[in-house]
Amino acid sequence: MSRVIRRVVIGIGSAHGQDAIGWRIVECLGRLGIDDVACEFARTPLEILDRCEGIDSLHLVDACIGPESGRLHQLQWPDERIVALRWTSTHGIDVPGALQLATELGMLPTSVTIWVMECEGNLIEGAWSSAWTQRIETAANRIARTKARAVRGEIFYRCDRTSGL
Amino acid sequence: MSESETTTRAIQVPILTRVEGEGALHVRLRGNEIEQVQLKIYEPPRFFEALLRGKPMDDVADITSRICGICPIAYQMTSVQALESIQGIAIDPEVARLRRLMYCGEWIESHVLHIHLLHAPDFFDCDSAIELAKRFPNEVKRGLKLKQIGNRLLEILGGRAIHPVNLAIGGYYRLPRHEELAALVADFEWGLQNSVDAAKWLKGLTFPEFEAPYEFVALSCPDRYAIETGEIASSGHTSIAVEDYEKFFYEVHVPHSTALQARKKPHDSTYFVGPLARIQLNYHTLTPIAKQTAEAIGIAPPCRNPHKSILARAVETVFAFEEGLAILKSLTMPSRSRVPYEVRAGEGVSATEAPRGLIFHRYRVDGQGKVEFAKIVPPTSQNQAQIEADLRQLLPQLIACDDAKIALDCERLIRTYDPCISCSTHFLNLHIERV
Repeated sequence: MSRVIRRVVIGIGSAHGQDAIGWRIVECLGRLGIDDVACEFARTPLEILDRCEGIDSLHLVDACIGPESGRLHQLQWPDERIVALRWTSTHGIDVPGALQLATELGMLPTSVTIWVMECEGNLIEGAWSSAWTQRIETAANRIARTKARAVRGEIFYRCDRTSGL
Repeated sequence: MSESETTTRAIQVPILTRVEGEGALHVRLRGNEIEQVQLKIYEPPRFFEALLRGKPMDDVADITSRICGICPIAYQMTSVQALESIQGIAIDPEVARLRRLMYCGEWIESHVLHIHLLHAPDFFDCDSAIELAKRFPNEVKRGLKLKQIGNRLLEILGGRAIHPVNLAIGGYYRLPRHEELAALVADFEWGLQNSVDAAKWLKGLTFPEFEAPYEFVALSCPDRYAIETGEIASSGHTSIAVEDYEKFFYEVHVPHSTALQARKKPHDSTYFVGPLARIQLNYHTLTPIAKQTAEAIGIAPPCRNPHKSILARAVETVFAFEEGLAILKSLTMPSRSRVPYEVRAGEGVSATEAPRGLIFHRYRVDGQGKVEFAKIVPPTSQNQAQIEADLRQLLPQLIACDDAKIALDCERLIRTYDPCISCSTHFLNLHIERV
């Protein structure tokens, strides 16, 4: 009997501006209709802890400020570079903080992947061009492919060549 | 002149975690004299009151909720109630109970967050919640589950936990389904028991010896623990009507802070708002289990030690579960989501008890229902001057200590107030200048 793999993908951010990148990617991923994958949305990193217990793999999708809009970075937790990055958060608990807390509480699955898409400057409402739509779709497809490989037992790890990541 | 009186010494603590918002503490010492203590709030003002001008009344709750991601209900509820008073709206009793329930949810998630992730580490010599979780995983997990229940309630009643969208002038935009709320009864029963256990976990804490002759200020009701209604009670004067708030309290701009500071007339005195003030003033109206818990953990009045605010929050968490459970068990769903009304011009006020203390709003709207004027007095601006006064009282005991100890103790004292300087960035620089 094959084991049911429970995977959760969480977009972090909100519905507005570049903060929406994580949500939009996960929305797009949801439309792909992959089996056994729960697509969820979090406004604060602490919400990750509400959804990560008892699952097999966790994917977080967030936005970052960077020079190359649309570039997608993939990191595997734990990684010191993730902690070293400057994260913004509400009330002192950022993404690495939430993951460290979940680790201490034994709540994290063995596989935690963080996807971060670069965005240059402010992305205001109405500025979601077709280029951005393409970037979002490409990112969602890439995450979907990666997850498919993980299912086959080929845990995928690669970090894009870029400064700081 | 001795060397100690001439030595210049500056200390920077670049990041103070577990404080909500962006600010700095500047202390200038001349020899053994404290020359200046300033809680500096330097993040840009957000001009919410100006943003509201010209906006339709219906937009106000959605805009004010953005002031804080942790206590948006306080801002929404206070603004909606002020606008309802202008429009002469009396909300349906069932809606009023749902709103009180909603506010309980906010108290739960805010208090539990502060207790477990921001404040408790101070009492266990931990630098962070992560370190605390290593030592007390079950207690922290329990805290996270308690918070989750508060969030779930807000999702049902507010549409979402962060910046809810469902509160409307006259009631709610959409009523929750009865079964959604009824499903929470089991969670609230679990939450009540476990919030008592969480409070008892804090019972044995060692608190710094610090007391001050505070004037506590909070809403108060004769027959129930005040949250969303009441008169303004004080340990220093008789109760006043919310309409008279500005006759007794006012805000001033100080050069070192972009946040206004509140003072009390006629002596420009400081005052204390928040859970400790509420417990002191409204102890007699606590629900039975909350009162038993307060007695058991040692926070019954009189208490003038701000460090014990963590106990006050723990008791109020028990209260919020107990009160919420009572509402959930006797739930009668409203027959309509909101009261219809004809727009009229006028001016109105409201005050409620945010998790961090009294919050006051005043609005004036025109005949088209557009906001002409808005005034919002949050709890942290009311506590800001009191925090500075506390630090002035604390510092003489610390002058002989090294800078790290001074910084640590000042930070601890500030954290007892759970200051919400803003909800966007989060650090506080401590600068001690010895001249």
